[in-house]
Amino acid sequence: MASDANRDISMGSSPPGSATDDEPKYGGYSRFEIELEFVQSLANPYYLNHLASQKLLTQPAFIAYLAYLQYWSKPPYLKYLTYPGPTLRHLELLQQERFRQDIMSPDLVQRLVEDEMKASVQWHREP
Amino acid sequence: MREFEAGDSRARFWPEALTKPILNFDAQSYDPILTPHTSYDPVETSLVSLSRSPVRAYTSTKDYAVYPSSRAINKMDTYIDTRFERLEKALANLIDSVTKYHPSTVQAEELKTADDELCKGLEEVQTHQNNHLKIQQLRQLSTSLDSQIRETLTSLATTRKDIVTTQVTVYPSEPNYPIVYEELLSYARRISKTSMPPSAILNALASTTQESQTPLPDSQAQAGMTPSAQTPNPTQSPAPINGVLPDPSTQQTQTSQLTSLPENMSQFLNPLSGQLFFPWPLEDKIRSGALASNQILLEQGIDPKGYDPVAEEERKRKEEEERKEKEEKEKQERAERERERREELERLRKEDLLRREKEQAAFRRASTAAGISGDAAINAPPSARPEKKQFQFTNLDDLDDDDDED
Repeated sequence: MASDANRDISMGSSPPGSATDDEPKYGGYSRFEIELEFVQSLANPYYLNHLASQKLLTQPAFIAYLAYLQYWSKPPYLKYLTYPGPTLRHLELLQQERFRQDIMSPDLVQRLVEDEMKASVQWHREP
Repeated sequence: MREFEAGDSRARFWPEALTKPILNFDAQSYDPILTPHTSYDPVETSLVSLSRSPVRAYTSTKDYAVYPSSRAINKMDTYIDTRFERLEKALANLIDSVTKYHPSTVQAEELKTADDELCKGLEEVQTHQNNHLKIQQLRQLSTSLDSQIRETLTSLATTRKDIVTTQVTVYPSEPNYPIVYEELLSYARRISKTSMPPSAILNALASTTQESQTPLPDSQAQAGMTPSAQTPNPTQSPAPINGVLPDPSTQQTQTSQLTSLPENMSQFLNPLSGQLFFPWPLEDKIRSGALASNQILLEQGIDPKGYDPVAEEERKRKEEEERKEKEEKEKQERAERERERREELERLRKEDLLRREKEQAAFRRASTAAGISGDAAINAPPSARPEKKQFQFTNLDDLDDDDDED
């Protein structure tokens, strides 16, 4: 929700490397922390709906940022995700134009919520 | 005759029969230059050439020396027949001459040579038969070798096909990352709280689904066993029911009633019951994160880039401390000055007192000196007089004041 609009200014071509001391901080947080927090916030279906309602999901800059955030699905960044399942699923879905449009609908949000709640109970039972 | 001369024919038999087919297929059907590279397949080529079998290859050669055909046998027959005829003729001639009582030595000689010839011819036949046997053996050998070659080639082809069609492990083209098991375990521990509901919820879910899935047998069994039982928990303690008491139903219900807490109390004992689980960060968490704090900064008109609230706080605290320290110092200095001033005053007063005492002493000395010179008895209290005067003066002054007030 915060500073999303002007994020693409600092969005470099490469994901943030090891934190160095001379790296600029944003409100006392490193880029790594902020991007980790944001990508995990995407795990919340209601937040996705909120983003859609802010018309952010149609902005090309924001879409490019979402594409850039895919580096979280690969090592060595993958292991920092605390909510890996929904985070990666939503990150993948958000790359699709259709999903970015449809997440406006509360029905889809509700379905995501139900699916992922069920998955969180079921995933470890599968043989 | 010439064909069966062993040295010649056998020497030609071997290379012709065995090497020619191989040379044939090498030269004709296996041309690595002419064959396009993509379809280059030595095994298939050799299979094709197998249809041109070695046996047929050497039957088609026109060399009778190597193959005892029917013509060769016929030749052999005519060859031996001529010798027989010659012998018969010689014998008949001899007998003829003997019956005419005119025996001829020439005819006898002729018979002898004919007989020798026949003997030679028979030997020849024997060699011929031996050769024939040998040829048959060699033919057998060659067919067995042929079949062996064929088998080998077929097995080679099938093996090749097997190798080509064998499912091999396909490694993904993506980069491969080594997994450190300690890292994996620590990650699993870290996400266990956020990716799986607490066991209390899971158990509750499991029990409800179990009950909903298999309600019939349970309820029937319960109905048969304990019609009055309302809270039977078959998973908890089935052993005592079956083993100990023949009629445990009422006791069981009683104990279960006694041991199970009311719903509202168990809630306090298990803090996790009734807790909701979401596999994603909730809104309050998002609202209290770094992005939200940056948003607040933005709303305050502060560019969050390079701005660290903690450092800022630290800086302010330091300033405050410095300020306080300064104040403290000033205070101390002021107190010090105050003290010095007081000391100074004290000192001045003391000096003043001392000075006055000195003056008085000097005055007294002067008066006593005057008393000694004049009348000592009358002027005994010389100091009293001025004091009294002073006192009166003050007294007057007092009265004055009173008057003023009145």
